[in-house]
Amino acid sequence: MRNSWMKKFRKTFIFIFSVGISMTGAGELFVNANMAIAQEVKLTQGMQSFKVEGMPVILRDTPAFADISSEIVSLSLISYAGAQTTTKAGVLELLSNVMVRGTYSYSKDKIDQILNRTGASLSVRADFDEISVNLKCLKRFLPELMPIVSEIVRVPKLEQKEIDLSKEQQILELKSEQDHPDSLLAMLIHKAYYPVTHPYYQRPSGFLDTVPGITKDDLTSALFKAFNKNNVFFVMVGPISRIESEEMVMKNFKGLQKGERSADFRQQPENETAQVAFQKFDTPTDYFLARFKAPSLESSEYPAFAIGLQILDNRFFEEVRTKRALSYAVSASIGNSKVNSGVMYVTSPKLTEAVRIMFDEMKKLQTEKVDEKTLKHQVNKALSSWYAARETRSSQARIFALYENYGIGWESADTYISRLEKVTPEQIQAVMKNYMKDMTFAVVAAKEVDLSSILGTKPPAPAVELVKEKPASK
Amino acid sequence: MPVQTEAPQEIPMNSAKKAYELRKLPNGLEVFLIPKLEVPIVTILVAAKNGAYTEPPDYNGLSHLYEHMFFKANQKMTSQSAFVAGLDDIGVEIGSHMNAYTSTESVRYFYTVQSRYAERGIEFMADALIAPAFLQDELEKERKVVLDEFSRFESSPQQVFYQMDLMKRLFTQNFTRKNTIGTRPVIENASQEQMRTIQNRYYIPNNTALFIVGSFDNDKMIAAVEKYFGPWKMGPNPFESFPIPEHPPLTQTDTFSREAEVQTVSVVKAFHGPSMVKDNAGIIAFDLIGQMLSFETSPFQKELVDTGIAASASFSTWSQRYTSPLYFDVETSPDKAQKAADKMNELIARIAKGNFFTQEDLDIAKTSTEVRSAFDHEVGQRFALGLAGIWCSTGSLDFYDSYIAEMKKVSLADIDRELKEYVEAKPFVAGALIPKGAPAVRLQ
Repeated sequence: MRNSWMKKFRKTFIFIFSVGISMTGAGELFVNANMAIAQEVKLTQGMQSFKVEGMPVILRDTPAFADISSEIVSLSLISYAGAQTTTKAGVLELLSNVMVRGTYSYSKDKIDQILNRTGASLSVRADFDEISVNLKCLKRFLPELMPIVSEIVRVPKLEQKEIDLSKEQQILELKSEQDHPDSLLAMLIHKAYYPVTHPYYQRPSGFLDTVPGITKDDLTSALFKAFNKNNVFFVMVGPISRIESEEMVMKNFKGLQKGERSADFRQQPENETAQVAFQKFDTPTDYFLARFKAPSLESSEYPAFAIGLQILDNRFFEEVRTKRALSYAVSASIGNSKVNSGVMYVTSPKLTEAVRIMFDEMKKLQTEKVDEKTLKHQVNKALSSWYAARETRSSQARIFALYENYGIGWESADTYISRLEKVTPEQIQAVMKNYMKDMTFAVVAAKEVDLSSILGTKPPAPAVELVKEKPASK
Repeated sequence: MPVQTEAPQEIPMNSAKKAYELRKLPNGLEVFLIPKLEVPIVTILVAAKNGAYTEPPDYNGLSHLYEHMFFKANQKMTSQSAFVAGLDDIGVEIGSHMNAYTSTESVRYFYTVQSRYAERGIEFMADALIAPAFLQDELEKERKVVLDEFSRFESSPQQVFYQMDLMKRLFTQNFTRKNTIGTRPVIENASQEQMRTIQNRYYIPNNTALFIVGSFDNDKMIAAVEKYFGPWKMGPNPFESFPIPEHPPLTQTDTFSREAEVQTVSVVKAFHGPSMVKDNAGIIAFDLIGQMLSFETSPFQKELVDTGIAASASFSTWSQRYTSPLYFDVETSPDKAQKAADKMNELIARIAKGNFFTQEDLDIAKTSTEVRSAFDHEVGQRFALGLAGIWCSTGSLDFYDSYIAEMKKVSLADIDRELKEYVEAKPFVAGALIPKGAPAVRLQ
């Protein structure tokens, strides 16, 4: 429960060097694709949805494979409460951390002890569009674990001591965000892209100048807004019958209070574009990120843009890395938010040259049609991703939750294939023109780089002030 | 519904039954077939016993550069563009579905394809592995790409601190054999001849293994493997001609401090731990120690994290055939750094002295490990990577096969004995990564 980004990075990825850094895919957590050309996996076949105490339950009762993983259950409780739940950046992540640190019946130690003993993983995750409680365990441990899940959303203690401790840890993580060019770049672009009035500006992890001021009342208010019978749904994947799941929800969540459904927020930011947020950092290679608006999953333009960006990503690899050896890491990708965006990213000791090539390639996709063969290949590669993204019960649950939360409905989780098949070269060209403009940029480098002639910005790049040292709150 | 559990219970997972089928080709190539039926995809992974541990100073970083050259021209695919086009044909995206990892004791190449491409995937992998072209112009370009990767590594004060500063002191004599990223001048001057040397020495069937995980037809797969990997000629065992030197034990304690552009303080204390094969019991014991120290109920967490002295505290071991490092570390703010370092030292002394853990801790750690081993099988690519890593370090999967059974035998006395052997009163390397201008941290 205490894995900071930096800790994970250090412990997991250190000592390994790989050929590729790009982990992009053609959208939708790697979308569904050309099903007509491959074996069909209909995840939604035989699935059920029903209500218990007015709360929707989406259930995929999995078949028993002859595999020792067959007893794994993935259960998510999703709240529609996202960034708009609070005006204080950092509340959602702090709440996520403190919720699991003690409840009415379970002390923090007791929760930890049960999780360790059962080998289960339990996490609360807050992002721009939802807060979710996610449990992965063996089925046999559900009776012991479900009361914990129930209590962390209904009656968490939110003790002041734990709030203070979590707050200090969150502040330290925010500080460590400035210790690496990539996390610094992500923070810079966030601040430059979203105006302070946009709900997404108040990111769940917060900022160094907002987290110290968060109070217990802020957490309590966010908790009640997020977790009420009218604002949640369940997704379960694993060997569980409808009767079992109904009993489980009834027993453990009947007492959840009634409340209001969170407002659905879809408005793109009215941001100041063509600006470069620059931060000096002692690095031998320069870091660049561009962010632009993108259609979200339910949009009719999404499939074409997802495929278009993946083709652009491939062209970056070919033109920037393979042919010119200007970079180890260059990519283009689409995000997955209700208020969606995409990014172009590169690191290079010759940043101006690399970015120029990237923009040339982008313009080509805006002015020329992609050929049918490339399009067909891309759809087929998306199918490989689609399968890979559905390999685990947790990832299946994640996809059903995404479709449900977006208002598309879990029943459509297999339909993206037909959407992709219908994409034409003309549509790709049109969406590349429509969306790949009015960008916001961030650069982290040892000294300022003048990209104005390529980006159409004013030289020199204005620096965005970072909040550096702030005393930890007690 | 299952019975509620209060005590650690026996997990009826069949750890005695092997999760794979092993076939060995006449040329020595070991092929591990692992069925996994949920979705129609197959991960194909080749592991080579190569990596930093095979590198003397004049080859430092070249296992990694070689790994990059795998994605270039070969006899069949005569340019990188052709190589990528070949991947397009089997629905593979570099980065998303295909990658390669170089580490100290392994190099692993892998991709995940739709099941219908499984046999073509085997053919493509064999072509790339057996007959790389090492074209000079591609080598020139790729070295620049790798140097940008090197620069990215140098941009991270954390990585430089843990991987360069600490490792150099921990493995003073044979540092290059723990330094996967390598040395800039060696990469800048790498030649085709050096690539061929690595190929001839390490990329032979009797020094590699093939892992196939997913939904596939066993007979067809075996036939494809025999067809495409069968003609590959075996070679002399490289570890007999070029033995890997053992890392001499630390003879004295060393401490260091690095000031960098960071906001937080990291303090680490590292020891030489057990080596796989020679002391598998030690490896398993330290895995369990790591688990027990991560429990929120552990005094290690209570006294360091719950008191607010540190934001995080951890113990980790990196299992290696040639000396596994053991790390204790904390992350904290500059004003608490000294207090955190002192408390960590005090705790390490208490842990090393023995009787630190309880029988309940140990039982829970064992059960937790066993249950979580089920989760390892969920993602084919990750499972293949894990198995391949063990194979490269130990030469077989015996360690994997017997892990749960051996783990169950570990007693508290065993734990204390391993701590005595590797930690108590042993020389160590301690370091602190601190923000520029922050007060120094005393590490002894």
